[in-house]
Amino acid sequence: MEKSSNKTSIRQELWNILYEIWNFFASMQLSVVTILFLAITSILGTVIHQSGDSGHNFQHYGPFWFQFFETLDLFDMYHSIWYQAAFLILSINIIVCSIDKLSSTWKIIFKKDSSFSFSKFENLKSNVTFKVPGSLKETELKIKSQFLKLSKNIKEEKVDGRITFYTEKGRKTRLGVYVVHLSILFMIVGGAIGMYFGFEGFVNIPEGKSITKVLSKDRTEIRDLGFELRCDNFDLTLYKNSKMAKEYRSDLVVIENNKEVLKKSIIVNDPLRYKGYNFYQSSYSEISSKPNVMTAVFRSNETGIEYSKKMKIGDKYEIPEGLGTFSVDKYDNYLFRGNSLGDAVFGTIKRDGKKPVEVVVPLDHPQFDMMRNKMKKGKVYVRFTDIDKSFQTGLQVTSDPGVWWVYLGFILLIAGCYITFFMCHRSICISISSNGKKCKVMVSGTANKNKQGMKFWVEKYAGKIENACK
Amino acid sequence: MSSSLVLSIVIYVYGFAFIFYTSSAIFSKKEITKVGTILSYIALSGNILGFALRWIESYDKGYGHIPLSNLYESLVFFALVIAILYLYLEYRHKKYIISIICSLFCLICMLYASFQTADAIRPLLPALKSNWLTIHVLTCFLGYSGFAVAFALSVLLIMKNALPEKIVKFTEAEIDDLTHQMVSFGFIFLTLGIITGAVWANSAWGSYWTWDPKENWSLITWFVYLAFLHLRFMKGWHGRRLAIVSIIGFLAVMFTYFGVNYLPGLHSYGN
Ligand code: HEM
Repeated sequence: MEKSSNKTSIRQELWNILYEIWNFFASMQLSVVTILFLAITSILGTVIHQSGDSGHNFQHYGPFWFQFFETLDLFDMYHSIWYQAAFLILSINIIVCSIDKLSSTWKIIFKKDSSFSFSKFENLKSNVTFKVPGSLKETELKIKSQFLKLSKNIKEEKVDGRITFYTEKGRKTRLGVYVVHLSILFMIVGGAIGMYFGFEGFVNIPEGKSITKVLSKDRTEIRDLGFELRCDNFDLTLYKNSKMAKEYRSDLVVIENNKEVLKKSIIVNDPLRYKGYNFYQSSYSEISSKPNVMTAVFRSNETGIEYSKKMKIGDKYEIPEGLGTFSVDKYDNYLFRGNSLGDAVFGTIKRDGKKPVEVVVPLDHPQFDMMRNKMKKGKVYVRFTDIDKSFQTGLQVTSDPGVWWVYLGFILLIAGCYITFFMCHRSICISISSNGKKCKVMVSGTANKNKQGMKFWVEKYAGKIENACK
Repeated sequence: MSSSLVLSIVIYVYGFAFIFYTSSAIFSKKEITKVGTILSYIALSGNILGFALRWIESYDKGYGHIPLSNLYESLVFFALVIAILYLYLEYRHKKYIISIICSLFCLICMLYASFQTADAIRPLLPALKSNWLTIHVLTCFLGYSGFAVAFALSVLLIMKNALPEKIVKFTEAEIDDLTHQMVSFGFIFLTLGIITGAVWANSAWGSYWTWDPKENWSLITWFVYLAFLHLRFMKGWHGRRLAIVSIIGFLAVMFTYFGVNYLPGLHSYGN
């Protein structure tokens, strides 16, 4: 006897503790505290440089604070245990609170029949009352037909010579909050998936070359993509009359089992997606400062005819009209009396029996040699166009299996917020009583939120009813 | 007519609207209020016209983007939405105290914008060329404007007892309710702003959230208003206590808007 009562009291105790824990996790205080905690610690994260170089951090903060911040993971706080724990608490909080609350809301939302009582509406501040001519019967019919437009499901009550109609709308909008909370869960789950199973890396591909492996951003992993990615060409376009970049474009080809399976030109904002990997245009660089090919244009001074020829460094070209042989010697920065004139092509013109003439053509000042009257002495004048250098494109490579959870969360969040903020559960009541000559009509309504808005609504609706009774 | 000319005239019109509203409160004359209202509508029209002209001008220059790409342009838009919101409240409630504060906001925004040196229309960086940019910035600023009006209401609520009854006219409950409406408006647009920003970042840089200071601060702001909503919904907070939360929220908005430029990051809007 003694023993068993002990047992039940222990069990009781256990239940109480569980109950308290449950209540703790269902409570709003917990969510507000956690939310504010996240807000405040996130401020720290924007002040302390994240994922920076530790040597630099050490110098910046000194040994004591460096150690202190390091211990608390403040240099990479968004990935720290305690930051994640806060989100975990939020998740538990949302789940527990929703279960707790839903069990009681459920009955309100899904009960078969609505019950209304006149006394609940009678003394509301927002009520609108007016008088209309005509008999009770007439008025009742007019109002009923009007009221039916609002809702098919109306309830009629006749007590003490008073006729009352009731209806309610938007009962299910009470579920909006749960949609919102569910959306937060989706986002947290998606974020966690991305953090644990996602990949982020960077790779450079020279034009014409291909890669199969990518180094992760934190340099801890080399990921084998399982396919080959080739860059055929990289192009940079500038805004007209400006040095500002307008567009970066890389022509990429996916190769699998030696077959080209996908071709796409990517630009910023328009990545290539393949097998869960995304390739974003992120940077570019010149591989060498020397051009691959350029077009040399020769103009004969005598006839005015232009001859053009694609040339590489080291190439020789026999210019027509017997103007001689042109060779491209080098491509380099050109210093003229100590001033840099930028990149220039250096070449030599040889004609039979004449001394070779060296020419320099600075790209930004094509007239340079002409002005010095060097080429003019000869019979031809040369300039260069379409200088094509070798680039490598810099691609950011990501894969995030959690992103669809997050996006689903976004959609639910928007839908849920819309329901929560702009829709409400309204109960509406219209009562009619008569003093023989005239009828007194009262329009009344309540909502589970936005009382002010409901008041406006009642005023407007009463106007409509009044019109209908005329 | 150029957008900058129109917009500099608009500064004065907002200024006069503010002066008329204020004097109507002091002398409690209906007619003066009317002038304030008419001036506000003129200022708003000018503001919209200036915005549209600037948009057209950017096409003429060959760049063609919505004028929301720097601090100057965003301030112009900010003033525009605040004006719409306060004129809506004024129309709906026939009370003018909010218009006084908000026309002052518009004036400050436009003045501050006119101090910006970088008001030339410039081409967009490749990363900014996206329809998401338009939606993202648009929704964010709609949100900020809602919060600005909520801030005005909260300040009013806190100062209410110090002001004469006949100037304020609103009851505390009404101000409280309007604050809530404006916060809701702001919250839903801030939410949309953060979401579109995330989707855009994902399509441009390959990750929807990079913990960049601007993103963080918008999240912090979101958290503050989230706390506001929960305190109201669940704890039944209202009045002065809740007004303080709304004010803190607006400070966070301001920091997200201006302060973040002093921190390193991707959204270098003001410089
Ligand atoms: C981090 C995100 C969130 C957390 C941790 C959170 C947590 C909570 C908790 C614990 C409750 C009390 C449970 C209840 O009684 O139903 C609650 C209620 C509520 N939350 Fe949230 N929430 C979050 C996001 C949101 C958002 C984004 C909204 C926006 C609309 C929202 C709107 C509400 C509303 C309206 C209620 C009151 C529900 C009712 O009246 O029954 N919550 N929230």
